[in-house]
Amino acid sequence: MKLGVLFSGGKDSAFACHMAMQHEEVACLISIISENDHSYMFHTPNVNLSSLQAEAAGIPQILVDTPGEEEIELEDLKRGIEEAVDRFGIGGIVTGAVMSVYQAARIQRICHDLDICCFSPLWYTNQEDYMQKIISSGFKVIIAGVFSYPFDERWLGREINREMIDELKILSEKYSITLSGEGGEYESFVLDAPFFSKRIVIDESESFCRNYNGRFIIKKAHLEDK
Amino acid sequence: MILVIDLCWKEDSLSKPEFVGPIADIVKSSGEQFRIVHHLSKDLKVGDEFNGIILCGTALKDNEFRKNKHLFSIIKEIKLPVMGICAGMQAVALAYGAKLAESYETGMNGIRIIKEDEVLGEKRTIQAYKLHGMRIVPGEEFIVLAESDKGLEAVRHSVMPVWGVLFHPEVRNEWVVRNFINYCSR
Repeated sequence: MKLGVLFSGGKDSAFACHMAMQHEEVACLISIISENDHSYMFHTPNVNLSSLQAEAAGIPQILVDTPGEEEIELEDLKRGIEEAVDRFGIGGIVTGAVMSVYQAARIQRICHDLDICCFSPLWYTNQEDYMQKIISSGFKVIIAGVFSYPFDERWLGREINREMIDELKILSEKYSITLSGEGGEYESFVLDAPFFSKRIVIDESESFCRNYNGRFIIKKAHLEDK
Repeated sequence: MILVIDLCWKEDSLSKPEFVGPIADIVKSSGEQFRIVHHLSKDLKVGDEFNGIILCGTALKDNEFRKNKHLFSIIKEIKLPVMGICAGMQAVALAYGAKLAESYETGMNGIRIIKEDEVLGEKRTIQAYKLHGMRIVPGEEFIVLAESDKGLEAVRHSVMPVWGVLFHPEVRNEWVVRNFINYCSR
């Protein structure tokens, strides 16, 4: 079955894409560029760089702009999926939803309306196993945004590695946060993945953070052979 | 040991981690052993090592399991406790000759538990995650345990230790699976 992956450039959509490629054919990535930094539906930090990731993976990409207004953004998402059906003949969508009923139910509804399948291979996955798999599968992921206590500027741009997972485990027990950042505690950006033929190298970046709300903005990056 | 039956359209499908994995995780975290077997596998046999069976859900558009008559005869012939989740509830219904009707629903919604029971507990209203395109039509074989404004949400067979839940307990209602495992361990 040909599939389209809802791709934000963060670890969840990239890992879902990796899983989908092991089972079916990923025909395209669909990325939603939201003007709303606080969208309930769509991951936003550095999503404009998802095109560089698509190029690194060698997978065609459909870009959809949305003002990011609640519920209206779903019409824009539907438009993007319809385009993927028309252009690539996809029979289903892959999402990186882990625990968000809000996201999953809405994407399921769109797929039902369009009579296509919906797959969320990370749905209610074991958080620790998943985080370990990100590393062991060869992903290189950095923290691209922090949005809640106790995540401060020191986290921005840090690579997710075993030490970080140990630290996250301690924090998750202390502050009831999810290990994978599913509660919106942090967002991530994928620099390398097993299905990338090139890796992303950051040339210029800046980060800002205030009151446990910060972003790591990649201003310039290029692809390098692996 | 719990036999977890994968009802997805093929073995090792992309739907398996979504519908079977979370159920297996709940069984595992309950301290119970389990084995996952696909409904079309030649290994689908109910040996003495099992003390209960869970039939998992599958994707909204996936109705392949409804063609598997062998599965229905297994469900009907075994004497072990069975819990069917969503598609699994449909399989249980079909095994006992009940009918299905189209009924699409997705998202969190309230369901009313109207009959106290070992698996669903006392009478009350709970929020549950729905993802289904069909629901079963009440028949005399089943006792209704829970309902919503849309219809039947959970049933138990009138004689056999067989349950069906239309909602997905792996989302925020893991206790339903744990109660079933406790029942199986008795």
